[in-house]
Amino acid sequence: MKTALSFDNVRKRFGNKVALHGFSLDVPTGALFGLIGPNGAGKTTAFSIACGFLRPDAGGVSILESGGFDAGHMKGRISAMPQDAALGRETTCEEHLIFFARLQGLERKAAVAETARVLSEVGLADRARSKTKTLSHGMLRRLMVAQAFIGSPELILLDEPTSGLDPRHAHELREMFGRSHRAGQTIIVSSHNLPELEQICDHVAFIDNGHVTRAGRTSDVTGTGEEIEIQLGGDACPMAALTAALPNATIEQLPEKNTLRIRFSPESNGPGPRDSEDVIGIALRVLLDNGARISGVRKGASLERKFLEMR
Amino acid sequence: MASSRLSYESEAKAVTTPIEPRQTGTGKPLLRDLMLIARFELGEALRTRMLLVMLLLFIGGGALGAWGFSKVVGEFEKRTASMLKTEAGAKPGQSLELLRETPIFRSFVRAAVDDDEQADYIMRLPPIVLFYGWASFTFLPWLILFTSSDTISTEVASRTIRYTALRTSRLAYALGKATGQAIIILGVTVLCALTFFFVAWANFARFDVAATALGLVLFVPRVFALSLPFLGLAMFASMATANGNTSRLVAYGSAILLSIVAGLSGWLRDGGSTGAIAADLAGYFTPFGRSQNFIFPFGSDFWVSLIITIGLAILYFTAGYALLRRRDL
Repeated sequence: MKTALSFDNVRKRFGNKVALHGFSLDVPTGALFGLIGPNGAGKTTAFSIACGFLRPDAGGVSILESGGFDAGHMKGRISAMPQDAALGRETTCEEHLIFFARLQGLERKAAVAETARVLSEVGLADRARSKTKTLSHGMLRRLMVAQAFIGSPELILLDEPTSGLDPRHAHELREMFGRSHRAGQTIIVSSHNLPELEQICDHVAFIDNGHVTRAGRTSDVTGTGEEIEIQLGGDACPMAALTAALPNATIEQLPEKNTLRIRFSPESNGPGPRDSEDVIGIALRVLLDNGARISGVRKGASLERKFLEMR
Repeated sequence: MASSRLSYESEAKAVTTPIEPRQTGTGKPLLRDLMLIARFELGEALRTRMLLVMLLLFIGGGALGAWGFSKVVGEFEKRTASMLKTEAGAKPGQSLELLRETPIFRSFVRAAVDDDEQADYIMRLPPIVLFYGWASFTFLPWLILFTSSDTISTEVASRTIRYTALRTSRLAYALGKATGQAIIILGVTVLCALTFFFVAWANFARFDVAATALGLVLFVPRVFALSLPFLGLAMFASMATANGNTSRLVAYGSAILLSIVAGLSGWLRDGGSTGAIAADLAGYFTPFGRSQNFIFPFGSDFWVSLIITIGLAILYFTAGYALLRRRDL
């Protein structure tokens, strides 16, 4: 597997506080990768080390399989949206972006065209000549995202990109991440918005207390091949019939929201279902035959639940 | 609503471009980035009105200095005329020019300077040019420390530096910032000289346009050269600290320390004490006390001082960069 970003046992301390310890993570090339963790877990520190803003006390980082961060060597190949870095207030959006594009190696004409493209992508084309001090929080956030996408870098790190955005603009940015991902860019997003990450990311990692507690494909982490949840519309729940139909599965009836949780082993060689679609088919048939009403079906657990279970 | 949403999405999809190979520009990335950063720094100075503040400080100071000088000369001439029971000119400078042409004044200057070549050089210079040189050598370093010492530290504090550090080396960034500041200093030094020229032209009688213009033109590069170590010191403070106020404090603290070193160095060296060698050596690490050698643009003292000041500028900058290179941003 080719990796776009790899942390190997990284350690970073700020005074007495250990921000990262034994931090190891591989981000596959071309992934849209979600970094999940509570405040202070080490997400921003990990981002900052990857971008060369911070130096690790121990361990190594490999970016685009070319070793640690080197601005000259990585020019235009890696980009980031730092969470709390200010942009000059008296400078216009366009001036900032053209400057950044030129620093990435683009000639003036290409830089101007690229600036227009990314501003259009984030919906700020009409504010190109506005000074950043006149932008709202959301607009500034989108400008910060735009600068990260200039020149179509191979690897983009986004620290809380949709924080504070209204739902429409947050949705548009997610669409943009998806398009860039499909175009082959590797995107790493850190966020507290777990439904958002679950929606867009094909890989995720949980970080807590400075190290990675779990990482992998989103489908593996949420267990889409091992678990289904069925939300019932009424009180009727034929547990005996279900247990008989799915003998190798563990079935729980959760009191909250009248939900059935069915856990199964896809590798099971015994008689019965082989994947989640089989389980859904059998379970729904039994439930409907026994007069139950169904209001929803979900494969796997939510990232939020998995994250809370890990803690 | 739905249709506008759809059209937005299709527009956004249309503007997405596939990944293309990087364009690496001229093939001299350090120089190219340095110039880009210097140009952006100039633009920022204009936009943030920092340049306006510098212009007000330098040109305002220059205008005030030239005007004050003309007033002092005028007052001196009035009093002299009153003592001699003669008529003072309508504008200051007439008596001074007449005095400068007398043999007794020449003898006085030769005795004071103790070097005939230097005395003759002073005699050829219009007094306003000498005053410009003295005022610039005296006040410019402190103004530079004030205006340039937070160039990088404020960007570290606000983390604005991170956008640039992602795209170019810290060396290109620091050199670009220093180059931008150097261009600003050169610009305001020239404007300050122009201010002296025009204020003197308006206020002095017997104003020698050509000699004054030539004198100022020849003084500006020397003023700029002597300002470089102070710019280096300001950059050191800016790279060694993480906020504007601290960097100004470090810059002024270092400058005061270096001026004390220069004073002690001269005192101990002249005294012929056992620490004379150490004092002499310490003197090479401070830009203070070198302005005398910059007034006369000839002789070994001038060239040695020029080399030392440029060397000090590089030394201070390098010391600051060594800290910036290793620090967390």
